[in-house]
Amino acid sequence: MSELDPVTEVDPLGPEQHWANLMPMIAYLAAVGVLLSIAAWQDWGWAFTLGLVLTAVWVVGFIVSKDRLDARWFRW
Amino acid sequence: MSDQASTGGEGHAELVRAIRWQDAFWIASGVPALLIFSVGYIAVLTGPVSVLIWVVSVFVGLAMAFVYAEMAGMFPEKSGGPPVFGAQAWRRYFKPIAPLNIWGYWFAWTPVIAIGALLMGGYIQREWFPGQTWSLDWAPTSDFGLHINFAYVVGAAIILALLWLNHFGIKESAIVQLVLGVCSLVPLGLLIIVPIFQGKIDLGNFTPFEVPGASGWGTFELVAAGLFVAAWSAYAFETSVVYTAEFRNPQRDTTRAIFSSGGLCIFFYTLGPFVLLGVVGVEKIQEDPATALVPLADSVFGTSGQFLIGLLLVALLLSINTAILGSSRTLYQASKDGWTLRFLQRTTPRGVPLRAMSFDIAFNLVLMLLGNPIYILAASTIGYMVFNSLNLMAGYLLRKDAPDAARPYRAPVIMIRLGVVLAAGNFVLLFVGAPSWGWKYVGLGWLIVVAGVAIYYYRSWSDRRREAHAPLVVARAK
Repeated sequence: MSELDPVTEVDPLGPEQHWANLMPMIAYLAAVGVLLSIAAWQDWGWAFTLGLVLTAVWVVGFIVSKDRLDARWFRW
Repeated sequence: MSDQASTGGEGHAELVRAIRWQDAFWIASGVPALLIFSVGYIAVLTGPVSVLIWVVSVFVGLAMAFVYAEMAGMFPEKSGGPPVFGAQAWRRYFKPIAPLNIWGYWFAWTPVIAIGALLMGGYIQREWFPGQTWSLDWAPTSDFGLHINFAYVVGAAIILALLWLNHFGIKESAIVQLVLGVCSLVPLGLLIIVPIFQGKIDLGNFTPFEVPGASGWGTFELVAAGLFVAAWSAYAFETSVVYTAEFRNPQRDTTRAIFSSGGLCIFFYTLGPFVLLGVVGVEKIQEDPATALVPLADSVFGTSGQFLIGLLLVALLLSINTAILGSSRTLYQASKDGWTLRFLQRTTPRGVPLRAMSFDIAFNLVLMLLGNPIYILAASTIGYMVFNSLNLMAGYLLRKDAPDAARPYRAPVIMIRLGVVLAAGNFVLLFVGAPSWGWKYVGLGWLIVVAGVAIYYYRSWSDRRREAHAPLVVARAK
């Protein structure tokens, strides 16, 4: 490409498709975030523990999921 | 979104392909100097453990680079860096996440300009103009106020001069960065290497290897606070892929740029804090964490004075310019893709996003009025951790949604999965690490990051309004 080539954009992702419905996941993470904030605010050990466990559950739910287009997040 | 976004008005809206990966490497060479901003504060907060915090942080940054490099290669026409690529994944699921990701990233980078300029102004005033102690203050509360002083005026002059320098073009900016990089990184490197050969590392400074004055969950919180602020510096070499749309050969240059910058950062971020603590010790750093390198330079070179100030000024200048170049391109591409204010997408005939750059400078001139660099840094790290959490998920989503899309660089599957684990780690740091720096600054950080979503809705409304009025304008013209 030469120095004067203008940059023209194409969408490399192809047609719009969703791997899963992530809205439940977004709500779940928001709730865990609030829990961890309360833990930091009040220094509650049980809240730290619960928040970390729920975060680990999220990681497993996100990675270990089926690749069907109709698969919803967290429905194994 | 990009194909729907209005370009709005006449003029230029394109960057030019004028640089190679070496140029991006030098543009990003301001990242090692970001160590100066917080190394002292983290050492005071976590003691000898801070050395381990920096090592963990920079290697996490390197692991994340695999995901970001793959994403950057998928969008060779896009400038603006990892959040712009991540936005392409999130827009298919929940659009407000995309501007949250982009604005968080921008707010992480842009305060480097304000903090660096204030520090430069402060050093110059202390060293060469000690009599200039005047100050115009407006302070409604004891811990919040607006201040204009000599340091502010000098800092403002410096960033305005850099704005002028950068209007010439990306190639010229890369040359400026190369000169600044060599002038600052060589002495900074010597400051790290020489004491090792001089045998000045005292291993006794690392014992007991624990976080001072903390136990149980308190230790967890302080280590998280250290990792939280260290991430702002140690992950930052991802900025080298901000220039993907300006690479002559984006497929080749993108990965080379990010991994070469990562290699440079591993050297500075693993050895730098170790040597600082080994030579100086926590007690000495505690006296003034903002200038933690002064006693180190005293020990290594005998005279700190003019040499050290010169070194710091060039290093700060380098960091400021890295931030100006990077964050302006993020704004430019975000505007072009319809995520933020429309006027930011215009470029000059030389392909410079001058409006975005000017907006950046104006925002920082206001931010500089607040003062107190470490708290501005903590607030901006909220944005950075929001971005890193969301963007690593986006890397995984792109694999799921577009498995067959062209990828000039394809990261190993294990690194993409590790990216999700690191997203969770950053997520925890965001909520557990941030509060140790003050709830007020946590609130300020979230307020500015969420403002990005409000701006996105304004832009969407504005675009719809333009589209509705477009036929009317054409008819009148006829």
